[in-house]
Amino acid sequence: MNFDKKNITKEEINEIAKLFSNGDVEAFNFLYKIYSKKVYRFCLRMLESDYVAKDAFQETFIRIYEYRSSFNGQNFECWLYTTARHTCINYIRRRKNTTSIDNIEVSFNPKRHLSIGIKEQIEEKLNQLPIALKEAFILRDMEDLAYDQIADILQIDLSLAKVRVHRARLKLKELLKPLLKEINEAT
Amino acid sequence: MKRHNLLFRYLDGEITRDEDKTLRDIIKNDPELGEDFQSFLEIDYQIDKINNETEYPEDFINEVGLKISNKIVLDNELSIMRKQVRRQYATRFVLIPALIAVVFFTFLISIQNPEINLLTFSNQTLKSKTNSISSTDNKKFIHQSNLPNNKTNITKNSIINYTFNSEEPTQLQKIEQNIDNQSIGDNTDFSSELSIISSNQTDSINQYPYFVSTRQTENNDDPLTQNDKITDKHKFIPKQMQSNALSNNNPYNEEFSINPIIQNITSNIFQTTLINNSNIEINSLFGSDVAQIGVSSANQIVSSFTQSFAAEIFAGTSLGLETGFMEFKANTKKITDISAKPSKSGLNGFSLLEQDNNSSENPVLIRIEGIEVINQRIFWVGFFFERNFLNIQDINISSRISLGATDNGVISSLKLLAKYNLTRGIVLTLGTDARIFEGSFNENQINRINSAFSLIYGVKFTF
Repeated sequence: MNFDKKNITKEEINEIAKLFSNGDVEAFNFLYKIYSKKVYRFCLRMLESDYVAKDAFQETFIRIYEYRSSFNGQNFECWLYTTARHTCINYIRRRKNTTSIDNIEVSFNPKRHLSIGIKEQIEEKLNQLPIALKEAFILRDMEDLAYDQIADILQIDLSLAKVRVHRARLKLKELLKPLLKEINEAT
Repeated sequence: MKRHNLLFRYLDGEITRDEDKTLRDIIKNDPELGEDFQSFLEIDYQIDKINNETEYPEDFINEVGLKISNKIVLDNELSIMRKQVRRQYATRFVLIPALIAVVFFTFLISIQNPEINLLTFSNQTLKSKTNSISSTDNKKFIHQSNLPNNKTNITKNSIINYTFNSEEPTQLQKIEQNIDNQSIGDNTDFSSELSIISSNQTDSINQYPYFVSTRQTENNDDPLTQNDKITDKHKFIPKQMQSNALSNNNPYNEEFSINPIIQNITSNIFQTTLINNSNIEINSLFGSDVAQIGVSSANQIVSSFTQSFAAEIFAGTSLGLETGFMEFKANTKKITDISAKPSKSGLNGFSLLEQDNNSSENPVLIRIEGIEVINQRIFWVGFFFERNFLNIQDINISSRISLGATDNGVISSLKLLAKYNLTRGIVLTLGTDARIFEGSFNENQINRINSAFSLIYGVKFTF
């Protein structure tokens, strides 16, 4: 298998993933090179915090290695994102069970008191979405996955995956309405 | 949300040309939807921008990748080491004990050979018992057995007489035992067949002072009286041995057993009879595997042939030389190298690579690993030991243990053979063969220790 090839198909990715599941270190390096930043970005959007995202990212790839024999050879990308999603959800649950000092109102939150940029506002509004809509939106509009892949990762029907993405878009549009109005007026 | 379906199809890049025209017409007539359309496009643009501007902790990501890579390399090395240890374990702690176990159990089967010349034992040991009695009593008994000299002289319901004469000529004891050749078995109670014969069955017991009934030794509450008659089929023992019988509390004490045949079988199972004249045997066996057993199910042995030369050194016992081969299917790693050389027909100054495996100087472009099944024959030579352990009418059942060497390792085989005498000197053979051997053909051999269970059939010539 030529790991230096630029345009690689999903079938080839799956073949390489099979080599990885048999313990091929070169195959792992190749897959890691392709997917490490995507997975980190996904963890970062899901968990909002750099530190937690790093932990979840690391745990995702350790799980991928430890459970490599369970890969069925069908769709490595879905399998990877599913693992990342489960890891992130575990972190979110853990966070809910503990009281973070950031959530205490007396603490100083610069985002609430200072003028912030468009990027930060979009990220903030994105975090206000329910988790089911948020993860669907991230997978579709940020990670550019197809609806059938999203359905596989979220383990839901294809139609439900579409509904969740559409609802997330509409909800985000409503949340960002003041900001978008400002942008339109400015332009 | 239905109003926005066309918008979402546009954002997802799934819209058709007709749908695109319809969408533009709707937006023209619905300013609110047009505003939403602009908002979605703006969000989409900002999301792309956020993605592009995301800062990645490169050092952290590289560190994680490196750690996992190192772990994979380490785990692979550990896995190889474990496989080597398992292989060594299998060779040292499975193969060798298995060989020892096979030899041991075959030995056990061989020595517990019920096919013993019963008459030979009975003659010899009966004499010794008689002498033992006389020495204890200081009265010489003269053994006057009329036991036949060999087994073939025993016929159904034949009468075997043991006669003990004491020095006193008037005291004559005669034991008569009815031997039913067909009913002799391990559990046959010959004692029940014993009767003391006298000219007058109504004579009282004290006419036979040298024998007492075991009833006297077992049950003191029921002693024999002067009026007891000999017709009672008690077990009788020589009177001079009575004290021993009582002290041992064993009416079946072998010293005065009235059942010499069974007694001798149980006490002399390790004895064999040497046959002076040896037979030379040539045996050819063919085999077809019916089962793969043991540690190497990946390999298959499809057929085998064995030729043996043996000499019968004892009755039913042969020792000889065995040689043969197995046709063996084995899974091995197949590595295919595809080499390439620069093509002369370069395009725009670039040289192209084309496949060329003819020259070893060309660099390997790609190496493909696979598995292929190869056919291999293993030849072996070894010694074997064979022993008959059961006769069923004209069929002899025997076991054969062999130990030999191949060019790849050692081989051990245990055969169970049923032999039928077709004519004088020609024996048909049918049986099973369990083999365990070590075989490898090259460094890519996947499994080394192998075992198989075969059906074998053949013919044996004896001279």
